Amino acid sequence: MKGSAPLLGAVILIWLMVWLFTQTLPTTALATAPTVAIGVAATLAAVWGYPSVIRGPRRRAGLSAVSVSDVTGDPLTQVSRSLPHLRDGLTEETAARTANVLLPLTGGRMVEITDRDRVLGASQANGRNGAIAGAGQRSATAVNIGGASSVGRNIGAASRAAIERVEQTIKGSSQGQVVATPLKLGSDVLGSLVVTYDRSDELPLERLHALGELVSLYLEISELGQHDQRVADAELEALRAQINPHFLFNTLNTIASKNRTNPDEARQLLQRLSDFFRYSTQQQGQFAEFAHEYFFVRTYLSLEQARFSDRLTVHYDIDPQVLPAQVPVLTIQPLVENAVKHGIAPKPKGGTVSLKARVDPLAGSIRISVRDDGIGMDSDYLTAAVKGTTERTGVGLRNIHQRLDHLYGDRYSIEIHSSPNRGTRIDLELPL
Amino acid sequence: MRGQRHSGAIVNEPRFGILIAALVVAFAISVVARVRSTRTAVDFQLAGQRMGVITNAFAICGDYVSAASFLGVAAAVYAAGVDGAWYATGFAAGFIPVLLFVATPLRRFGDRSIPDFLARRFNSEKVRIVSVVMVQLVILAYLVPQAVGGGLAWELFSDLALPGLTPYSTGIVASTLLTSSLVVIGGMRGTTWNQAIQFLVLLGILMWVAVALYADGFDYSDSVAAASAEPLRSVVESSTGEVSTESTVNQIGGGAARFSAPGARYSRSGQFALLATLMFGTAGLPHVMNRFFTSSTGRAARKTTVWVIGLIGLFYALAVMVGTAARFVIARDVAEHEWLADISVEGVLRTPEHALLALGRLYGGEMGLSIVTTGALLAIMSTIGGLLLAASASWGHDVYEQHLNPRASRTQALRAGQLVVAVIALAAALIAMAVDSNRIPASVPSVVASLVTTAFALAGCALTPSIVLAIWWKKVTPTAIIVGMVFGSTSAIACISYSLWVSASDLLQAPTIFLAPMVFVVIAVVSAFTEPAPDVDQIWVRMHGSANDRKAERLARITLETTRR
Amino acid sequence: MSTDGQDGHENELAESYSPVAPFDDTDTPAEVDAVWRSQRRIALSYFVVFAIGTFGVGLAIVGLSWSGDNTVFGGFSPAFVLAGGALYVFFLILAVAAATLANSIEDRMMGAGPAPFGSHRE
Repeated sequence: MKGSAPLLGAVILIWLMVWLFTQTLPTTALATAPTVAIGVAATLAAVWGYPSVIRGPRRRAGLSAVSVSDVTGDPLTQVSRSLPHLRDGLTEETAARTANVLLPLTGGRMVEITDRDRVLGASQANGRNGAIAGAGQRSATAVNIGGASSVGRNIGAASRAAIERVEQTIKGSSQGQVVATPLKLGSDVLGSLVVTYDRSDELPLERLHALGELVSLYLEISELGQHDQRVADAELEALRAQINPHFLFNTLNTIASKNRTNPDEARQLLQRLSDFFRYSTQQQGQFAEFAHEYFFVRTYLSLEQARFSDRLTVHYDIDPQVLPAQVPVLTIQPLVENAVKHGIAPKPKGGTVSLKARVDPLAGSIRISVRDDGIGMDSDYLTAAVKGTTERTGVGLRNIHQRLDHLYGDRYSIEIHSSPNRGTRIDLELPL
Repeated sequence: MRGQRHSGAIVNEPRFGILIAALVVAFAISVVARVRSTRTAVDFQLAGQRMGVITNAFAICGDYVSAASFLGVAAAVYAAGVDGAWYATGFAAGFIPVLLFVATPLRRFGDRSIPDFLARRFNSEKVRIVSVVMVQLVILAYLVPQAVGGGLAWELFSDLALPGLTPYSTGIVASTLLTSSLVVIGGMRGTTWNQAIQFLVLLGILMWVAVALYADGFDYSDSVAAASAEPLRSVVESSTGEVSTESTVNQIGGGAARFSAPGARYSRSGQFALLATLMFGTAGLPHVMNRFFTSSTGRAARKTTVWVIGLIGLFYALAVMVGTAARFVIARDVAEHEWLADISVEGVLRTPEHALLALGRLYGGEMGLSIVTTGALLAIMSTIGGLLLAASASWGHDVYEQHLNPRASRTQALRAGQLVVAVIALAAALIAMAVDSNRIPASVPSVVASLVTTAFALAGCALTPSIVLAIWWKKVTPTAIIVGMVFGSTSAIACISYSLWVSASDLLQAPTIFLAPMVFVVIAVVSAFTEPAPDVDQIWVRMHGSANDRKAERLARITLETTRR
Repeated sequence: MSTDGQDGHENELAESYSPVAPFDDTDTPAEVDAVWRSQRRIALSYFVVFAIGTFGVGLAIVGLSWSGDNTVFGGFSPAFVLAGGALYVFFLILAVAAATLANSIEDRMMGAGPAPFGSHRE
């Protein structure tokens, strides 16, 4: 949440006004101590009162098509026609084709494209195209660019070592210079673009850098495409889990029986059921406002409460600041559903399910906690649940893990605490 | 020492033309509104719950801006400079707690008066009875200064007096009598429109005075500087009956008080006591709070409150400016106008309440005086009207219908309400006539404003804590609320009486700042030992849930769409 | 809701437009409890800000002779500016902020939630 910037602006404004009104405008300026006290008090008031501003939903930044001319400044028609094949990812074939395309642009003798461990494809100026026979052998020169924090033209130590090795091998034969540019996805280095020049050539470092960026861009597009595909799969899975026939059957049953005794309530339940399914089928995109997810959870729990009546108590503890934050869609309700199905339902006395959501703007994270005081899990079960290998948590938890991995990498965390008969708690921490 | 009120009036001529015209209009509005309404007790009290946000906001302001605000704030600023401006700030600040804590939940729980609200919240008739008593006390306390203000305005306006009464008393009788009849005839709706328009008129008057001042070359900052250049002076009466002026003592740090420095009236603790008292009192004023029940939804109530805060702020900012101007202008012009010399001593008005009235006369001649006096009388009448209505609502519905005569017909309930209006108006008038301004502690900048402060103190101690806790804490118990209300009211009355009759003390006269926290604590402690009301969850759904709001908004939208087609 | 499907609600997906009268729309106690706790928290926070602003200003005014003996903008003293004008602006700003926040909390935490979900949003 870009919350800190306005707050900073407000604090600066406050101090400006304090300065203005106590030092410049009055005929005698106020002494230091009271001025500072006033400024501090006003700042405290603003910081305290500030977090209560709820803003509207942000639009998730989409990746729009980037025309090649934006990237390099030259109309590289051929390149723009050829590089899109990289959408299929970085494989030997695509690497070879890319190397082909790039060779004339680099002005060098040889272009190689590597992944983290080995050369995938290369192209040589003497006309030999396509994958070089013996590309595998080339791996003896093991171009290994690990996760170097290479930015722009600064290539890390590993890359330098790799270049040296390459230089060694060709020193004998053609005495050239080697330049390696990283191919990055975000801050991860996926591979490199290695170009070999004659010793006497002038190195077009700017252009090589730009080409490296260009290829990285296409790799990013490719990654997104694949990511979308994976996520679409995950969504389908989630939806399948949602349209749980048992849930539908039980709820309709409840509604039907209430229809005789309390038709008003039956009508309300029907409304909520319809809301429930509408929400789960109308999802667009990977993220939703927490407020929407919360709505989904409320709807679900109100239906379950109708079925379990006194056996299910619900408690919410939601910090209003969380409401506009973007969270992964269809993530929270499955956790709650697990709590009800596996924690409370088997317990004859019933219990309480509670959902707690907090945001920590300074640390930039959202903490969501689903807790129940049901039958809990013993440690074996717990381990299995964490690994996602049991029905206890079902497909839902594994699915959630996967999606969070794709969305956040390692910037999130899920913790499950549970003890038999004492209940279960799932803590989820997501970046803002 | 305050100085005797001058027995001669400024003008003798019938200014009545304007006054009567205004009253006729007010009457007409009441009658027209009545013709369009059904004559049931509910309608009588609630105007059919169809008031729009802005209309309601104006009406609330009209209710709230009493003689104390209109005349009294200008008077307080005139007499005490910045300390007087605190009155205005305190009055305006009072609506923030209303917005934050009271407006929306009160409307959502949907009933007709504060005792009704509390009774249903706690499912207890005992709570209802006790809160009715509290409400009546607050109403009476608030009525007295209105009547006093009416008397003061009238006596400046004309010499006319009913046989056997002073002009002051005549003014009291006139304002209370007129208003009671307006209330009885028009019921709530009439009074709502009356109040909305009256506030508009008052605001207009202030703006007109402001414009006239600027046209005359008034410069706000220069006036403040000029007024502060010398020590502040007020009128005193020596033991031999001679009147003169002397410097006001600065209560903070001693020495002479100045206009734009604090301390002309209140000591350090006095400043905070006043502010706190005014701030907490608004939420406990029955006539103001009852208006929120006429909003269409809880959210409309919230919006209305925001509007009120804006309008009220504007009003009070103007009032402060006018009071400042009076200080400057009157001292400057006293030589040129004989009538001004009559009511002042060495350039300082004897009765600060005359400040605004004098300005009206200075800038508008006799017409101006009439207008301002009419405005003052209207302010008083609208507030008295609201108070009387609140009184009748609580007696008529809460006591009569519920307890004395449960099988009352609608007409009977209506009559009961109207009877109460008459009785309370009479009581207030009598008390006001008995108020001898010489008994009020010597250095009050404004009789009316300080009497109103005591009403705020009572409301803030007896009612506000109970209402706030009833809304925001689930575990409050009926017994605790009753104890809280009784404790709050009796201790407030005790403190104030002590200050009035034994030894004057700013803090005791405005005791909310230390009493209200005590009331909160008392309620909390007693709640720990007694049983809460049953079914709190369902009550909460009604009080804090927005389902009804959404339904109403949906209906409104549908209606709009279908009518558009 | 009208039965005429072409009523200009283009932003709704066709499937979500249900040509039936609005169902009942109620709040559950748990939802209301959550909203109430949130509202209470922000009401108290805003009250604290309000109290700091008003009483803090009062404190400054009373505690500092600077506030009375000084002039700002010509003839006013700082005390006068605050009591005579600045505080009213502060109240209005605070009121608008608090009301907006309270409204959006209610919108998001009760009922159908923010658009476009729920059949009872037209």
